[in-house]
Amino acid sequence: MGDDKQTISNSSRDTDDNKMVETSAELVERAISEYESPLIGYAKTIVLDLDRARDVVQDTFIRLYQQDAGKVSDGLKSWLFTVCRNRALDVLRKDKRLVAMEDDVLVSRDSGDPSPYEAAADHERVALVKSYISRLPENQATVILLKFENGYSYQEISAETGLTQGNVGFLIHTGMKRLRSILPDELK
Amino acid sequence: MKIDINDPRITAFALGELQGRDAQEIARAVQTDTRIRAAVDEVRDTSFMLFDSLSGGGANLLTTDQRKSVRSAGCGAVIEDLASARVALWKKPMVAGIGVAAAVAISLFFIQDRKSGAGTTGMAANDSTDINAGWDWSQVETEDLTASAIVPVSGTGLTESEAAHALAAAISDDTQSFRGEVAKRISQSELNDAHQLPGLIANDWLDVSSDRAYQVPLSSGSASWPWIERYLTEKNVLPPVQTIRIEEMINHFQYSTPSQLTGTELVADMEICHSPWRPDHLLLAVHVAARPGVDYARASASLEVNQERIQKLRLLGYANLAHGNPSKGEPMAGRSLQQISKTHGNYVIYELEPVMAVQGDSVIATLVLGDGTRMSLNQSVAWEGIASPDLRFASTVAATGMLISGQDSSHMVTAEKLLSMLEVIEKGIPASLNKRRKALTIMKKCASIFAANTGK
Repeated sequence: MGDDKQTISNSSRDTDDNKMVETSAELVERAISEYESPLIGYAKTIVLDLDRARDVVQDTFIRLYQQDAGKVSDGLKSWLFTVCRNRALDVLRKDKRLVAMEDDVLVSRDSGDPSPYEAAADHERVALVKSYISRLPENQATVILLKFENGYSYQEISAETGLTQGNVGFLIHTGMKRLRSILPDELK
Repeated sequence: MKIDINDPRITAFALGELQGRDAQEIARAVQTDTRIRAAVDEVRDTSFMLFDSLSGGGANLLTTDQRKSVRSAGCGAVIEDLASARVALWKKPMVAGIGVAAAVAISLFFIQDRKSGAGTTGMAANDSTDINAGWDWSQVETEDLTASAIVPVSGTGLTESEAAHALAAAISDDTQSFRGEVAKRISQSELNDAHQLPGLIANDWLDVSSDRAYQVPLSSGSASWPWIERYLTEKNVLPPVQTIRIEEMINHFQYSTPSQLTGTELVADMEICHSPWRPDHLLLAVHVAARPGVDYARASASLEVNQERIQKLRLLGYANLAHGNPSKGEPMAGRSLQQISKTHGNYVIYELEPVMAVQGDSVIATLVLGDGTRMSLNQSVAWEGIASPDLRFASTVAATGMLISGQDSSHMVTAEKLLSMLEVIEKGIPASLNKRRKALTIMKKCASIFAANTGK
């Protein structure tokens, strides 16, 4: 990893049995885990493009490295969304795409509609992926589809299926492991 | 402590499902154990592919290269000008040698707390030229977050707040997270807060005109069912009527993906059955959903009703907010949240009063999507046995709302009728649909408490 920042908090939290002392790198890793997806979703509402949203969020996480982990940790979510928003607006300003958000602005958006060829290829890909998922044991396939097709959290999958959250986590873990072992290279 | 490479927490961490000390432990292991880091990355790569393939909108995840760039950027300077460095950023993670030194200025903006006027740490309101972009909806006050989604009545002068625009975006693009946040806020609220909600005026019957298209609502809020559950489970009483929004109750649940009608932006189903609580009436259900992978921002749907067969129509739910909030003495701003969710369809039910003298097989209603794609129905089916399980379930949820809210001016929905409907749908719910089974218990409780309170 190189000489990543090793800013260690000296706050009173050091003696809190419930919280470990985190380095900046650990904080960033945890932030990626918990906030990567919601941040990208949020950035996308501003920059209106998934690739740009990913860039913005990448930049946000990089900036998190510059912070004192002890000071940011408690207000991590607020910090992340604030910085993400500012970076996204910077991107828009530089691209001169910051316009009044009225109904008409939607006209300026690239619809992003897939061509018929792309749409057909997408459908084929979906069918192919689902065919591999269907080879899993039913309970693993069910939770994986609820997670990745429907976007359910572990908690929601638990509520939907009646399984405990621990059970859901285990099934997704083993299901994905098995799926990786049977997927062809072009899908990995 | 060494983490087992087969620890399911690794997958949970990679999927953002791990919290607290567990998350910190795995985050530390990722930094110190290359096996764990490789395992986490492997899960993320697979989840990227699965989300990208199955969710239809692309994976809201960083690419592998971007993650590596973040990890290796810990010792590098920050690129200030992201837009101009866009192509190069992940190719040049070690930016120290470029000479771009960035002083990261973190500014916390403050929004006005409407109640106290004091500043509150949160997201700033935008420039007047950018009223929708940039709102962190999770910072929106609970009152706005749990607002209903209604079509503002033209001519009333109702306006849409900036928060409403942010909520529209949240409901559309981040539905699961939004619903989770709403449920969390309600679980953390004082129960009596529900009494502060504005009153609701149920939609009145409309005289049908064949010349008119009735706009189909494309979204709904999600606060109602959590309130109902809380009151029933914590206090064993019915919730205040202000919390009972029928469209939110119906759309708390998921329904089968529509497939009868495919438009450019939407897919849709339509179904007509006899009303279970009033045999001379009909129920018309419309279920719309965004087509995966297309731009659905301007999607719309409308209903054309044949006045030769139907004389009156009313939309169940979407009650207009009462003008003026009794508790605050203020006029309420209406909200129009007409952008469909990327992941959750919207299920809408109308009650129709037929023209009694007319029989025959002329069209009853036509569903028209924004691109002109249309389908018509000229027959209704029996509610029991023939109508779809989704319609039976959704109409039972609607009936529950009508019963306990008093939004059934004809008083045709009684506790006894509701219990008989519940008995029918209970037989048809698969064991795997735990959420629906749990809902049955809630609805039975509503019927029982209502009957005990009113003797009806």
